[in-house]
Amino acid sequence: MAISANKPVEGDETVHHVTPGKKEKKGKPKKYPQPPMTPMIDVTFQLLLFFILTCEFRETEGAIPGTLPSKGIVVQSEKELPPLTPIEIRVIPSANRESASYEMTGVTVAIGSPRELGLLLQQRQEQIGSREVPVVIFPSQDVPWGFVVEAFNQAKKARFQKIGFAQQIM
Amino acid sequence: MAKRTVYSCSDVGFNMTPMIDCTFQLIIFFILASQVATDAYASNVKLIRPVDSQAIPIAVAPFPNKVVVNVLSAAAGEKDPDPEMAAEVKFYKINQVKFNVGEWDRMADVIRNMRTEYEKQFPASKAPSAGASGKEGEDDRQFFLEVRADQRVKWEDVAPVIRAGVEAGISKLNITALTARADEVN
Repeated sequence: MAISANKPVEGDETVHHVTPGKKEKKGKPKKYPQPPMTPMIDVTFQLLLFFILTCEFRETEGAIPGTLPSKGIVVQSEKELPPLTPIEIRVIPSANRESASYEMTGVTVAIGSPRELGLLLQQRQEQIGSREVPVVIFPSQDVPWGFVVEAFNQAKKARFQKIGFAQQIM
Repeated sequence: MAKRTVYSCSDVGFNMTPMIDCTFQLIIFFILASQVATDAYASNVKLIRPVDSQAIPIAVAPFPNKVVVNVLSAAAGEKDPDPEMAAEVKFYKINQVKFNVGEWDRMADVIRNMRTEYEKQFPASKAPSAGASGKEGEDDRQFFLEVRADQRVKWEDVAPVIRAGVEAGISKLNITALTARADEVN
């Protein structure tokens, strides 16, 4: 419990020596020194305002890793197919380019969604039993990039290791 | 008649302590949650969040072992309703350098120069490891190309960027996408 200097405590009648400099004037409460808070609060509010005005909430970005051909652009004619027959995925946009469908080697119907494409790729990978089979994505020239990434992402999800893009050579 | 108590100005005051407490809490939140924007990542790029996204969060590497090519759409913003405009490329951006459509040779030169500069600064034996990949045996010190394209732009405008990377002798490619939502992760 704190004992106030001004309040007399019962039984404390001992006379203590008080140096002249420490003598207090009777009747006035003792003032304790306090650091000035106002500038600190000012600066704090300035900082808060800065952060509130400048911050922009963004979603977490990531990267889907891949590789590029090491010896320049790979130009391959149909006669020079690699030993493993690649799985070809064609990305075809709708008329208004707001959606896209996918065509895959060995699948006769158009695939409407990336999830469906992913399942078919997964099944194909299990059938072949190898992740080394090349997956070649053939996007149409005017297909939005987002649908190309969807196809690449699904091939990655199916654990294929050789995923490439093909482009028409003019 | 009841006695009226009169308070002087010095008796009335706000209790500042809870307000200062809250203010400090907010400041700490903003300081910890904020990331300083860099030139490498342009704003106004509408990235795709693929179904079951395989995108790995980008680790902040202490060394510049990548070149980020931003492909910006000509759309006014992320919610521009004009699909024709959104499909067009406004410009390409590497750090502060802008490229117009068709400047592929210049882009390949810039990428090649950045790669050469990195390899000069960090020869293969001295390059620090970021440890970002987390996969044993994977060389995460290798200089790579990161394609950060708006999901609305056409493939034919992104393909030349990849080709420029190949021409610049880069063998590793990262495609930027949004990571899977927390509720999507198995």
